Amino acid sequence: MSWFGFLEAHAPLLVILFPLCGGLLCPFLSKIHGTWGKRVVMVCLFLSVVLSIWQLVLVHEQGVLHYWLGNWRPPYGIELAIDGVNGLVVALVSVISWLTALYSSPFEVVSKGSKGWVRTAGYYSILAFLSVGLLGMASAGDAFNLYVFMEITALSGYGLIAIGEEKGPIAAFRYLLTGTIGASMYLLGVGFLYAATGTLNMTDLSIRLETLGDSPLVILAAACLVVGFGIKMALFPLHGWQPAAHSYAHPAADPMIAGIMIKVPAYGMLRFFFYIFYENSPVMELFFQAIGIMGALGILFGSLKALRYSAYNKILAYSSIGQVGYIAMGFAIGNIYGLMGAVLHILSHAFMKTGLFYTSGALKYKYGIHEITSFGQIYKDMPTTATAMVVCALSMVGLPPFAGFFSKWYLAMGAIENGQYLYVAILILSSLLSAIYFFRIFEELFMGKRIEERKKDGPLPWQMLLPLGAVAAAVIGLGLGNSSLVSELLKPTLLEVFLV
Amino acid sequence: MNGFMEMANVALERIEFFLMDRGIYMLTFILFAVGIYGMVVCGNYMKKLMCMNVMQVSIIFFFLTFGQKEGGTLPVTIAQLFSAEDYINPLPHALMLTAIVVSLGITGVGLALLMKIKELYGTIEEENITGKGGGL
Amino acid sequence: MMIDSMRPMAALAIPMAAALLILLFGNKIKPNLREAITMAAAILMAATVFSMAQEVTSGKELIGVLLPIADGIDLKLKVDSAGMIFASIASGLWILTSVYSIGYMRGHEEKNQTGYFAAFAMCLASAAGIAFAANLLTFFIFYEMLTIATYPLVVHHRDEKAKKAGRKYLAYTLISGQLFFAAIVFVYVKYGVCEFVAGGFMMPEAMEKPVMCLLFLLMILGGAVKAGVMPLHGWLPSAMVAPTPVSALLHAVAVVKAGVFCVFRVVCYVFGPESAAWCGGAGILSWFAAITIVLSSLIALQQDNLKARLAYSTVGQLSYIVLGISLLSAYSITGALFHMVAHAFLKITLFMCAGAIFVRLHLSEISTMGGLARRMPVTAGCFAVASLGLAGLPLMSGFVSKANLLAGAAAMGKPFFIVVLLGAALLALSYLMPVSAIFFGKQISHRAEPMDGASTMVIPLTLTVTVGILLGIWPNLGLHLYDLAIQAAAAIMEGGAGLG
Repeated sequence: MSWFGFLEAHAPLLVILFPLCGGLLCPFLSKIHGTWGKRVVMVCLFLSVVLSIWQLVLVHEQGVLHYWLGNWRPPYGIELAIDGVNGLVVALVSVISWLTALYSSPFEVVSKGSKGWVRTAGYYSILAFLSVGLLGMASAGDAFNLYVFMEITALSGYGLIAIGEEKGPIAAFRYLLTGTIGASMYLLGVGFLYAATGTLNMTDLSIRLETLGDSPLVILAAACLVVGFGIKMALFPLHGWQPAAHSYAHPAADPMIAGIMIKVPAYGMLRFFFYIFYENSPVMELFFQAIGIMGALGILFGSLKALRYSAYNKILAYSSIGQVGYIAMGFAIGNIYGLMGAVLHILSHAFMKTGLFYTSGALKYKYGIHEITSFGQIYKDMPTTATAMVVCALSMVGLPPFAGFFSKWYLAMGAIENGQYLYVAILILSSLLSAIYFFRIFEELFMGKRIEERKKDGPLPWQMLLPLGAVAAAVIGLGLGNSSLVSELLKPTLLEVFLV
Repeated sequence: MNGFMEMANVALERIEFFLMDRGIYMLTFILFAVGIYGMVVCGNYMKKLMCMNVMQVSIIFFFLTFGQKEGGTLPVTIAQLFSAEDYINPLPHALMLTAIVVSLGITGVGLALLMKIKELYGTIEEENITGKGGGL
Repeated sequence: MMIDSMRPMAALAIPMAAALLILLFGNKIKPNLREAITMAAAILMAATVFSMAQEVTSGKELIGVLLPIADGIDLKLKVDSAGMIFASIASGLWILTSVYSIGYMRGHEEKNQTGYFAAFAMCLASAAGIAFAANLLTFFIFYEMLTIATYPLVVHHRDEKAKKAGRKYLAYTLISGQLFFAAIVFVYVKYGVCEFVAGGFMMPEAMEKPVMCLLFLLMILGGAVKAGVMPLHGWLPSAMVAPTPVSALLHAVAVVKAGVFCVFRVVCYVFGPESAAWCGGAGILSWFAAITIVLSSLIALQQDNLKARLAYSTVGQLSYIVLGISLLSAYSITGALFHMVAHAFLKITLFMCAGAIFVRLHLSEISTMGGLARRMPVTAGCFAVASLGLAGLPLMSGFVSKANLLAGAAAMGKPFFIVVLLGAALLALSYLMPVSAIFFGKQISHRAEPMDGASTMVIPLTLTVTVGILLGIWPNLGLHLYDLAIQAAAAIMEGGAGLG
């Protein structure tokens, strides 16, 4: 078999395997030479980017990819299943992981001294493992594997949060406790499902669950899954761990933690409920109600709470709670437009929030500031950062032609089609609230008083400028080009879900 | 005295029956609840971590119990037994091996974090660190 | 007849490219070169727009599809007669405003001119987009772009006062924009189309009367805020803190006209005269407009600040246009469209005069301007002529439009509105003429050599007032704007069932 054919046949696995190898090799190579370790991680992540995009093209051409590990057929073997939706999520994760790895290199993770390499190696390994966990979660076709990948994600996440700022270890420890409850709830849900059906393969589960109706076991399983995923995606009122974790994580890794670590569980929720439970109407009815209330309240809570803070990271963290509410609301709307909106919002919010945390990291890196009151006209010193911030923030508010607007457009379409006008009202209200806190930042950014003459030491290193620019471009591109994405990939894939 | 033994026997039988039927799940649930309760109420991070372990153990129990069945034996092929009915399901055990490893890993990370917290704050009592106790 | 053409896109792309160039290089190149970019873009844009006038006058429509922007909707531009009117006044006046801006900004030694000129170009690009948008989503995208692009202009001075005005401006425009958004989604979901059709695509009795009325009001709200219809006019006078060329642009060309144009598109191209009348929305709108005309004139009478008086005059004059549209007769719509032109030229003259006076003599209160005519004869003269024109003196462009409005009110048999229109003309005279009387009256201070200020400021305002007069004598001068207005009104009346 040619190399090309080999890569094509094993793409779904290799996407995950490359960062894993990178992460494992990193410590050894770092021991040999200070920068080899981080380079190998970057190369591996880049390969994963290339493969994930290639895989997306394959999905577009051939439909769903089923990869059987070791060629064991499901339901006995482990399966990776890539369709149009999680293909996108996988591509998103790999792109942001690679950009974040690049973005991390100027930060002083490379400390001097004899043990300096340990820190570098540790940071980049953990970053690679975080990426492995997220990629695995997105592509797993097996409920238990999803659990394992969920824990890999969580463990790497704890590490990256703990090496952050001073309050990092506390935030990480609290997240560890809450996150473990979430994962345990998920495992419990899977256990119930396994007890009811005797299978762990998702496709198999969906077939066997059809006949079970409103068995209490299935409803209990669904409730556990909602709580499990809800904790992992920081859905109100299960968000307790999130603001601290997102504000105090390592500034270089924060973009990835805040951007995609809460999105992939959201995709997991979509997968479980719309691919597996969908035929089971009693469960779905309860799910729509519960998730609708949680999402709607979360949107309001997150937006209102964000108004109260003046620390940039805190504002962004609370705004994430609101934005995750949008995704949940898309699930609660539950028709094709609602889901399209939710998935598009997973993508667009990942880019916007990553971009905003890149700007936050850049500000910390350059001037060590994190209060918005000290932003005074900083755009003069950091034009690229300011531009990226404006683009991402306007997209967060949901103004056209940026990505955030279009996910809102589909969500509103879905809600109106279902006659759920309250959701439309909440969407509007939340846009306005986020406009308040983002324009408050703009006022400081462009009109605040310049506190002291900041020293001018040239622009940011290119490793930081590139991710900033790439993410801002992605926000614009995803806005203007959303139509092809939606009509070519999302709509056909999601329509199949509804046709089953 | 005999009467008492009889009553105890009856009670034990009932308990056994109850456990065999659904009760064992009840017990694992109680264990789970105790774990969560402890995590919420305890003010000491070490205790919280231990309660977390209790919670995880309850889930492992849960999986193991529903993998069990009456009259089943070890899932190793035995010459006379060909029906699937005769063996217990090995899959939950295999899954739980993984889960145990995961929980070990989490505990390890948790302990490492606690050491770091102790180093930074000189204490692992929540009250002394954040000024308020309890809660997650 | 439809023609595919690249020119509508070029008309948008030119100012956008200019904005980008200015933003990127504005601080690195000499001011002269920067202003040259603005001027070149303005002239190119006007040439592009004017080159389409011939075809549009002969009844053709130019179509340009940019890209699919959302599932089932294209980002599409269409040049019809009404859009042509708006685009040609916007682009034509941009040349003059740019010349004037250069004089004003230099004369006043304003800071941050780079951002200023970039935002200005962006406003014009959005205005062109609004004029040429072929469907509601495209329209909304450019409408929100205009909102955002105007914000930096409003807060140009970056002090507390500017910030407050900016907040007020955003509060008004974003809230109404979001409600407009909800209404657009509703229309799209219910009808499956959102393409503008002359005469409207909504059939009366397609939904319940109150629902349709509510929808009408929600959609109008988007436009009415920018058009300053009372009680939604609050932002307009406070936005006066902006530099005068911005006020000129805001109040005469781009922003408020975009609001009026929005009302026009919604009433005539979405609902259509028949549905608008049936649901009762048009009636409500005309009452609001009538009240605004009278009240704003009364408020204008009491303003001593020249710019504030002009602002309230704008509020009133815009409501003439809104009233004309909501009367739903061919005459009144012609009048409304032509009043957009007349008011644009005359009001921009007035604002430019106010700006010239401020730069030259640092006077902003009317009571301090006694005898100003002796020092700034040309400016004072132009001011007086423009005032007369705006009040609707025969042989001035204001007369042409107002005569049509009156004819429309008469045709629809609504004598009350005739009284309002006539009374308001008198009121307009009574708040504008005293200013001229003061100019030509007794001199207050003694520095008395004639000095009209830089020619970059005097020439534009002389030109605009000349065009204002010429259009009154010969309404079809140049681009056949009057014919275009008649043509647009006829198309609307033919397209829908027609009422008058």
